[in-house]
Amino acid sequence: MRTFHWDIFLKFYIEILPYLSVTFSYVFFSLLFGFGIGIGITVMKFSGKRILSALASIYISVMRCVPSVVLLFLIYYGLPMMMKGEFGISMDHIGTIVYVIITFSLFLGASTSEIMRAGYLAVGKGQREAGYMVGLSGWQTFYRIIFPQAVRACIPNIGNIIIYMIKEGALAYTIGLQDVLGRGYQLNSLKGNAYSAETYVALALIYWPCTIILEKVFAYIEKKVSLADMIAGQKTEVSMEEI
Amino acid sequence: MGLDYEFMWKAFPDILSYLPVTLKLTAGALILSVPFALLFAMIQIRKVPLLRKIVSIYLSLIRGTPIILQIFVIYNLMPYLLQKYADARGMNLNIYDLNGMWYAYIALSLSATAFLTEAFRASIETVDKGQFEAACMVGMSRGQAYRRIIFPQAAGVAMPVITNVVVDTIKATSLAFAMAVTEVTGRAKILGGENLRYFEAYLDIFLVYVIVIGITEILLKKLEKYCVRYRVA
Repeated sequence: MRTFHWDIFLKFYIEILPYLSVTFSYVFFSLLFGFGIGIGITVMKFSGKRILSALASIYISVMRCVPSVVLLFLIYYGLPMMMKGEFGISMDHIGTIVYVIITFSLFLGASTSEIMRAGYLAVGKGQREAGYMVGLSGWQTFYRIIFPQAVRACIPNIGNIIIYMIKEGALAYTIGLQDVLGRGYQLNSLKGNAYSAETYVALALIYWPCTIILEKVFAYIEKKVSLADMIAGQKTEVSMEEI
Repeated sequence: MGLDYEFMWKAFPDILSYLPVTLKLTAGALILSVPFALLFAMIQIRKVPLLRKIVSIYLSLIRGTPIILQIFVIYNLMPYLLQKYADARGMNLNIYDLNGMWYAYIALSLSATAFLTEAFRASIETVDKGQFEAACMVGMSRGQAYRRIIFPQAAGVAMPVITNVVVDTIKATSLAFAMAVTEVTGRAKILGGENLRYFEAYLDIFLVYVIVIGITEILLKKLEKYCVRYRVA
């Protein structure tokens, strides 16, 4: 069996690592726009209008059924075609990362709206009624009572979608984006695929720690702001003790 | 916007004829992963010393890396290493004769196994421990207690997650093109490239996936209803 070239591995690792910034930038922007879409979908879902909430449900289920590569290709090939055909706008100068961000914003729009819905439903109905009882308006009840608690209920899921996004985003290499995986794929190809083992180990050792760190961070945040603690009114006490 | 409807119409049956490959990949990967997932889940529940650590590292590694990277490793690296191993042992074996489908099954089952392990472990742990003890008390063996008492109750809890794993596996088969296996997405890629009609080809498979996964979800929902019948509310 041939030996593992540690020097090549190290060289690749150092060369690929800076491309984490590309990965993180599409993760960040997809989350940002995804949350925007998600808020829209959630509002539609709870709007009480049957057509709007049906449309929101259809959007969520369709997004659930589509493999990432398929939507990625659809956006990558379809959007420029549509822009050119309908509006006469050329998208030739638009960077590949834009298509990646659009694709994953659409996906995250569906998943974040599911998370928001779950978070909203996690806060008991009695809380809203209590809010009205003490004389708060609908909006006040929402942003003072429901929202702070719903956000806490959402935290573990938000961690999961960030991890999901980092991993699924790797598929952007199929449309030629140079992110972590894309760069690794290219480096390996340039060397005639002779150092596949080194490349793959390097890639795994970039992605894996990212996930582990994110999992730890979110577990920590979750513990800090846990809903159960807050309801029991122990939050301040606990943090005081820890100090 | 100038869609080539005629191409879409003509390509659809062609693409659909590769649906059996997609379904075969899904079924193969799932069948391969269920026994391992069950074994791993039991290792975790019974807290088997060393094996438990190995299983958690496996779970963490699979959860922590993109599925496409796992596919690269299985498809590009495994045959090479196996061949070297066979040669070094003087075995007269040509690994490259092995059908590419096998690599696809293995690669896709890696993540299915990991997520099913979590589903099985979590669902078995929701069944009260006292039930297991009670079953043993009335003279059932461990195997009987699991088969007759624990599993039927755990199944209802596990079903939603199992549905997710099945859906994710179907979606992951769309990456089989990276392993030179032509399934629905692979065929669309080829047809789209030949006719320079990528968008239309992908619209076709978009429909195929929405329909196939939609039907799968409906069927699994039915199965879930059947599975929760033992569940004590």
